[in-house]
Amino acid sequence: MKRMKKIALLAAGAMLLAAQSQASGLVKANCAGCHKSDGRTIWGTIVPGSQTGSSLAVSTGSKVWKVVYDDNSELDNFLSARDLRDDKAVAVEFSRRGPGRVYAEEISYKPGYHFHTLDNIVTMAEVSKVLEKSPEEGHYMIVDARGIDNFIEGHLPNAVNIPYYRLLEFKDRLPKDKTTRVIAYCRGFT
Amino acid sequence: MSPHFTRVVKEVYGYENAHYMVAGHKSWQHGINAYYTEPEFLKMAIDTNMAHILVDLRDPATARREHIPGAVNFPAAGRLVQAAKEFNATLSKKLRKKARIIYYGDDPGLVERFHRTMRANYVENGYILNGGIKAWKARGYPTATGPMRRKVEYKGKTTLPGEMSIREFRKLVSGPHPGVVILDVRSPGEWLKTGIVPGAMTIPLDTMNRRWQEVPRDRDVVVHCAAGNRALQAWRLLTDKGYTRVRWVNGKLNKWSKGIVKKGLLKRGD
Repeated sequence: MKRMKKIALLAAGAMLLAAQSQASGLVKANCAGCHKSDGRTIWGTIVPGSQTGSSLAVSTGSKVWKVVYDDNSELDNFLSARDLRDDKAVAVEFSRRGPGRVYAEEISYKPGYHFHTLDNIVTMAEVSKVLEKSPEEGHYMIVDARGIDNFIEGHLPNAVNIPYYRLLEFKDRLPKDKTTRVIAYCRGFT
Repeated sequence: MSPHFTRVVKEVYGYENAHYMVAGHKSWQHGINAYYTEPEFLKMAIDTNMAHILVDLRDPATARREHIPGAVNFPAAGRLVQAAKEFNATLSKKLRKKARIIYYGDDPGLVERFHRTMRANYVENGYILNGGIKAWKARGYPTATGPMRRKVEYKGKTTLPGEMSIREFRKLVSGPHPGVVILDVRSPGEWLKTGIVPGAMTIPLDTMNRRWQEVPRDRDVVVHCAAGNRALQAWRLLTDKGYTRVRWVNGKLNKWSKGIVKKGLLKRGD
C-alpha cells in the first residue's frame, strides 16, 4: 500500500514536471536531459527552411519560436542562419519578446564531440570484436557517416550508410530500438 | 562527420549507446581488416574505364560458366596461400599502387581470409565485393561466360569521376580564375577559423539540399572542403541535379591553402 502511494506520488510529480516544461515551451524534450529552462533561453531545433539573414524559427516540440537577430546579436561561430542546417540543435538566449517572436542576444549551436576528450570513442580493436557477431546477435549497427560515393567505394563490414550531411533524409535507417549500440565512423581525424 | 553524427544521434535522437570510431576508415584500411566495396562502384569503374583488377576466387569450372566481365581467375579454395602467392607474382609495382584490387567469391569467409593474406603479406590496397556475384546479378549487371584470363593487366585512369587533384586546384586558385566559381562547402566555423579563397561562394554541405540552386549552372564550378569527402558529396548532389560543369577537389586543404585563403572576407547577414 505504502509502495503504491509512493509510485502514485512519483507519477504525479513527473506529470507536473512535464506539464511545467510544456507550458513554458522553452526546452525540447530531447534537450531537457542536460538543459534546464532559465526563462530566457530556448533549447530546440531549427524549423526546416525558416533560416534567413535576420531570422529563424526554432521548434521545442510543443511550440515554435520565431527568432529575430541583427548585427548586435552574438552569433557563435557563424554569420548567417542560412548557413545552419535544417533541424540543427540550437540554443537561443533572448532578451525581449514581442507577440509571436523573440529577439536573440546570442545564438549558438551544438558542435560535434572533440575526439581528444576521448568521450564516446571506440577503438578499431573494439570494433573488430563487435564485428565477430552479426548485427542482430550483437545488437549493434555500424554507421558509415560519409557520403554515398564514399560508401560504395569502400566500407567496413556490415556497415549501413547514413550520410551525416543528409541525416534528415536518411534518419529512417537508424535502428528502431534506441538501446542498440550505434558505432559511427568516417574518414577519421578531419 | 562521425563526431557530429554521434552527438546528434545521442543527444537529439536519444540513442544512449552511441559511439564513434575515431580512427576512421583510412586507418581501418591500413590494417588487415576486411573492407568491402559495392557492386555499384565496380560497375562505375568498368563503365568509366577506371583502373581496377577484378579477382574471381572460385573454382575454374564455376567461374568459366559465369563471371563478372574482365575478371581474372585465381581459385583459392583449399589452396589459399598458393593462390595469394600466384596472384602477387603477377602484380607489377605500378599495378600494386595504382589499380584498385577487388576480390569476389562464393564463400565470404574465404574471400575475407584471402584479402587478409594479401594485405598482410603483399599489397596494401584491396577490396571485397560485397555480396559477390549474387549481389552483382541482383542489380541486373551483365555477366560473361567462357575461359578466363590468368594474366593480370589493367589500363585506364586512376581518378574518380569529376575529381581534381590538389596540384591542379592550387594552380587554378594561385592565379586569376575569371569565370570559374570556387564553391566552399565547409561549415561556417571553419570559414571563420581558416578563412576562404577570395571570391569563393560559401554554402555548407548540410544546407545544400535547400540552397543548391544558388550555384550557377552555366559556369565552371570547383567544389572544395577540408579533405575531399564533403566536396565529393556536393559534386554528387549537383551532378544529380543535372549540373555538368562541376568538379571536386580531392585532398587536404592545408596542402594548398597557404597564401591563398584569407580571413575577414565574410560579412554578417545574407
